[in-house]
Amino acid sequence: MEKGRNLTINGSGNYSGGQYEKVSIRGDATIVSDVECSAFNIYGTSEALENVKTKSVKVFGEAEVKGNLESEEMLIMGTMTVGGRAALKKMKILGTLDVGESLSGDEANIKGTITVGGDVEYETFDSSGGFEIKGLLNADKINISLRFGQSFAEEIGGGLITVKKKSNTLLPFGKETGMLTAKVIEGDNIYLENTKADIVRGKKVKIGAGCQIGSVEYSNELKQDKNSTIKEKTKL
Amino acid sequence: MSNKNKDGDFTSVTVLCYIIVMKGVFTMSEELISKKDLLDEAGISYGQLYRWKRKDLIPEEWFIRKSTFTGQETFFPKRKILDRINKIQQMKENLSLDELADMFSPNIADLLLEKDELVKRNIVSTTVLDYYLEIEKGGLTFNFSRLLEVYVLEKLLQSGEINLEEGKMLLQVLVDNKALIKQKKAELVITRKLGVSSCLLLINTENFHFERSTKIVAQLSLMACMEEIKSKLV
Repeated sequence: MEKGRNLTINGSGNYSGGQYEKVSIRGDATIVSDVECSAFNIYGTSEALENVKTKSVKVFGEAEVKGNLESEEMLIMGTMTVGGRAALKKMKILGTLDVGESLSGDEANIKGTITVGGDVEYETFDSSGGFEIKGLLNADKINISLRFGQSFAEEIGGGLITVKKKSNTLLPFGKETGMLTAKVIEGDNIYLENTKADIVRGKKVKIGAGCQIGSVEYSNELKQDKNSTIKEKTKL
Repeated sequence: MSNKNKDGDFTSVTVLCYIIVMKGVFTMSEELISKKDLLDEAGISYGQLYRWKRKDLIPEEWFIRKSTFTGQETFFPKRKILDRINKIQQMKENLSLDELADMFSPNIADLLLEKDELVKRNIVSTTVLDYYLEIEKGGLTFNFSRLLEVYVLEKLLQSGEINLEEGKMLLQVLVDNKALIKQKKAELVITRKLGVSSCLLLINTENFHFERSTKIVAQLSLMACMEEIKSKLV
């Protein structure tokens, strides 16, 4: 991209899109058409009515993209809403991210929460926050630490799937632990704790403490903690 | 003939009708294979299958979710998926998964190639290319639909199945129906009857029949041609 102008908005108003080098919004802005830029930083409140394509997104305030969002890197400390699809190669979510359709990329690191209306596809998916995925969570390595609240995915599939509960060291009161719910979990190597699932299919399946599984289908080995229930076990 | 035998005849007649009906159904929704059986038969892991899905090597439409008595299961069109996995396994040693994905994706709309490039890559011979340009009167830069047209022409002329005049006719059909060919499963048929040839473009057709005196000179799936071109481009 040619070295273009910067768009800096400190007040409030409506702006047109186009190609920019760096977009910084500290006030309250609406961008009415497609934007292409190398950095998109939101410290205030922003709304993009169409699509945003950029190399890096940082959101400390509140941002909304009504169309699709594409970025190499993404850091969210505040809240972000994407109406359409989001392709975020490397993302770190400390705040909240809400995606209407699908979410895809290489590396996902979630310490906050994400809500996705469609499928989520990553090479590695690390979450110690919470998520709600209405479609399939598909990643080569899925690592989920359950700290609080309910996480949900319709289906989970991948190579290595690890779900562990983690005690909350920051909040001393209460004994609240997180819970994961999914209809189907499929992978080569699966370890689960605190998980409710209808079906778990895999080569090597270990069911740790606090699980309620409808049926497990495994081809190599199955181990079960005595504090978990599995209604049906099938060796293929 | 005994009564029993008659009954036997009747049943076989009914069965025969049933099979004919079923055949039609079958070709539309072909044989399915469950995910478990697929992994077993192809010798691949869940990780691989999900990775290929992420990389769009396996189209979303092939994942058919059904509820069975054991719960929800995913099925695939058996022949297509086994064929695709076979291709992936053969080619993944030489190509990256992203390159493979480009090859399988039916949409390579952005592709533009120069005339010299086509000759150099052995997609078309100079003679056919010149003949094509003479009829079509387009520029020297080829997008995918023009590439497909010239490739089909090359293929049929080189094999000697059609003559130059028929080539002209065929081009006209292809050029007129550019938009259809790109999206649908198209097939090209060239026939001759009493020395008069004609050219048909079939869209999403399963079968066709002519009367006996018509001879099918050439029959070509344009989908297959597209894949052949793609494999030459990689």
